[in-house]
Amino acid sequence: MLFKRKKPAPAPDGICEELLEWIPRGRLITDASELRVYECDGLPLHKQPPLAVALCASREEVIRAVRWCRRRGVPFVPRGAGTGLSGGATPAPGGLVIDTNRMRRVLRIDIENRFAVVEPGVVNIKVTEAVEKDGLHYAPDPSSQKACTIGGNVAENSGGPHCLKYGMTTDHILGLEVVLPDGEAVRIGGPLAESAGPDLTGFFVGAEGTCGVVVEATLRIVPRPQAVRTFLAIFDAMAPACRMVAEVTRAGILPAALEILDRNTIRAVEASVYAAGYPSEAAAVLLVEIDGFDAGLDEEEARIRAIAAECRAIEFRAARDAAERLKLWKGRKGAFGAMGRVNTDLYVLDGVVPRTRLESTLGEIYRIAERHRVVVSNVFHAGDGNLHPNISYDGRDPDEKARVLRAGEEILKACVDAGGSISGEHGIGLEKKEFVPLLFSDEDVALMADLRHAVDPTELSNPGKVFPDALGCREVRRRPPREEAHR
Amino acid sequence: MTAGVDAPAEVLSPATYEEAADLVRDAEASGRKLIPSGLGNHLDLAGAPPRNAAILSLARLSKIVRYEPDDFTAGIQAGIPLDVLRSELAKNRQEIPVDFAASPRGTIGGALAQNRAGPRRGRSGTLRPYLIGVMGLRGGGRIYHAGGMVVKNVAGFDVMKLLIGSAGAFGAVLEANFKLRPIPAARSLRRVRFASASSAWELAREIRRRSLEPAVLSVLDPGADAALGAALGSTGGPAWSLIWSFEGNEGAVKWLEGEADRLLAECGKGAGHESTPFGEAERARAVEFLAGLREVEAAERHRTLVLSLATLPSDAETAAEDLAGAPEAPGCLASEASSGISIARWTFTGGNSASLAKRIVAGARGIAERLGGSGRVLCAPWSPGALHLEESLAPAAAPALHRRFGEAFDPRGVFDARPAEATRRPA
Repeated sequence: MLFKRKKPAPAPDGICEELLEWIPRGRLITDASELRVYECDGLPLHKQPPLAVALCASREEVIRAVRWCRRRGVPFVPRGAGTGLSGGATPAPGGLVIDTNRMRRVLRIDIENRFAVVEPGVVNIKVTEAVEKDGLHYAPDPSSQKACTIGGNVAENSGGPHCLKYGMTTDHILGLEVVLPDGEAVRIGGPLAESAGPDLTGFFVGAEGTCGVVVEATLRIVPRPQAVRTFLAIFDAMAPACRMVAEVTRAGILPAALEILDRNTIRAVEASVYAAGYPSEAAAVLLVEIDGFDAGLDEEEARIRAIAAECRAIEFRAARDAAERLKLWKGRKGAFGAMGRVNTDLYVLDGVVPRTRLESTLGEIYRIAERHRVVVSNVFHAGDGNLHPNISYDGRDPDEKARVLRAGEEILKACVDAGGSISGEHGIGLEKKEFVPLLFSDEDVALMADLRHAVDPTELSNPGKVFPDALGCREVRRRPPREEAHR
Repeated sequence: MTAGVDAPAEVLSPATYEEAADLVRDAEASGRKLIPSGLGNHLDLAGAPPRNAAILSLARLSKIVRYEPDDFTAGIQAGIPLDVLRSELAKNRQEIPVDFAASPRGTIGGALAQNRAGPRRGRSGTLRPYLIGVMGLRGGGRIYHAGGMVVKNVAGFDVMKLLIGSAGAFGAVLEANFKLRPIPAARSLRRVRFASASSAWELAREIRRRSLEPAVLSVLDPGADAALGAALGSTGGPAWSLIWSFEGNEGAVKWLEGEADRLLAECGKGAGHESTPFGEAERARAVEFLAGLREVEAAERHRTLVLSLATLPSDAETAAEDLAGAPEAPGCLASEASSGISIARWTFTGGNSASLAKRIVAGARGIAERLGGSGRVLCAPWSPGALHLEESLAPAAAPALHRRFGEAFDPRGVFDARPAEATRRPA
């Protein structure tokens, strides 16, 4: 079911006419060939053409779209740029895609109070571009920041290399306007530092579109660091690179980023247009970035250099200027693209472990890859233990595809067994919903379901995501309930 | 222990999670309300408990159950006193960078439920960014987990956020997992005293505009300045003061202090000021003093009103002026220039403190409305049906949604929802 491309069902009689009552013909997609564009997001393992796509240009259109879905009992899926990697924006069968890409106005920028109010279709990098002349930036920087939208970032609670120091999307969302699944628009949170009552905004961030459609977001913007220094530590084995991450953490140093690329990734990058000058013979490189007030960075750099030496880095390079820094980052940011050279398809995994368990978990990941005869390349946010094992494969080979999926499942189990989690920044979506019981007991999932039903009793908002299809009949091991399970 | 002014309630103190769950089930079966509590030092702020209510004390659940110093994470039972937690983490030079008053003592569970934060909020935030997992107890005696023990995790809904500021209405937090921060290698404290409020505010604005990002940046009125002076053993004539603290490594803090000095020289020209740097012991006392402005000892509550008024930082000076210029000016006012939060305290000496407090709260609501602000009543002279802990100074956002979440956590309403209702009460 997951891999077979389905034919879009023709829209039932009268549906188009009803939709056209509130959206112009030029912004309604019902043609089968055009709908193919929307059948998946950045996770092509799951494809499902929608009933139709409404290219909404205003909050009023989103409200009308949601109310129409509610009236007709049609499921809907909010969608931004479609760069998500867990199938969160994959359409529901017979569902409407509510595309918010055309809602891309920056509504307000308040430099003194350091916030911006934007529509959900604003591209992540555009927020920084709008405020950088004032020395500020929007800190969350997912790899797709030049394409992904704020609406999608909110839905998935996106991360990025610099969230090690600056926090995830949830740490930068001050308020939201959400169209709830019943069509009511509510404002929650805002730029004030304090308000009474529970943090409703925080709940909606990362709800993966299961609780309505975000139509406006108030974002925290923060000062750009006065100075940035970027280093590359080169290792002849993966273990010492992981040890260096653990030692930096243990020393209480909080770099802006700590990113590791393994041998397979280095070779893919260096053979691509993203070549960054990483030595191809290295087993691992660790990209270290520190930032802050220039006066404090000498001390921090000296400590990091000493740790690199203790961990037997075979070389420690410092970017001498902005051009060199950009080049070092080019390899890291282009790593996923570079892997396109390895094979026709790429399965990007996303797990988290405690930082002290990086070394042992990576060892296990390589063993799993070997056992299933798949090619795995690791490029990851080492500083917060967020692993991205990437499996390159030929999607036309059903046997290889099956082995890839088995390896992926075992890798996620290894992360959970190490005290970690099944997603650091990509979300659960469709991809991992059946792995949720690895991490959460039935009671845990029941609460989440109750909270979802409090907002969406009809489950029309992005159905079929986050929650396992059939609790109680699955092969994956379930966590025991209650306190003994808490990690 | 008693729970109210005139209605002592039974205190139930489970020693295990299962005992706590059983108590919830028993209460549901008997139609009894439960009031989650830590040490019980703040209970009477919410007024007398409902008839036949019982206190569900988490004071015996007070261990650090998992502490991974190398990973900078800790799993903590809700009943641990905040001062004990702080000193345990400090053994590894680690902290949750949120400051709480030393007295009256509170617990980490209570701090989460009331969404308490301290004077470093402008830079370090509240408990929110540090909370990475929970074990909670909901209606039906059901125990659940959310989040985990890793510093980055988006698996499942962020249930933790709903518990922050939930005032116990969504049940009890049994355990909370936090990511920790290193205690900064260097920390400064400066107190600069001015003859006028405007000079203090001008320098605060400039420090902020230059993005020096102090850990603390507070403007104190003469009442607060005098009280701080007493705490630091450094007295003087009446003055407005600006308090700042920088954190980081030695190089950074030294440079930041130099920059602040330069700004002081520019802004302070002709303003007549007195600048005093303090050492680490005084810094700790000053931070504790500022955190303590939100708290009131039990014996003083009958005659004390404390409000927290939140505005945008750009409106904080106006809010402070309006509060200070009101017919009943606060005896003590401290405004966080980075976060826009002003803490105002009144101590009443006459017999009509409740009615006076109501008038002041009405005035503060007017200020909040004019400036698009918000805020909370943190302590008020108790009077039946008049004022409650956490009563909001502005209409609450999405009260219906708040209620629906409450019903999801606690369908039979076993947990006392009065403080939560107060937060939703429209102005």
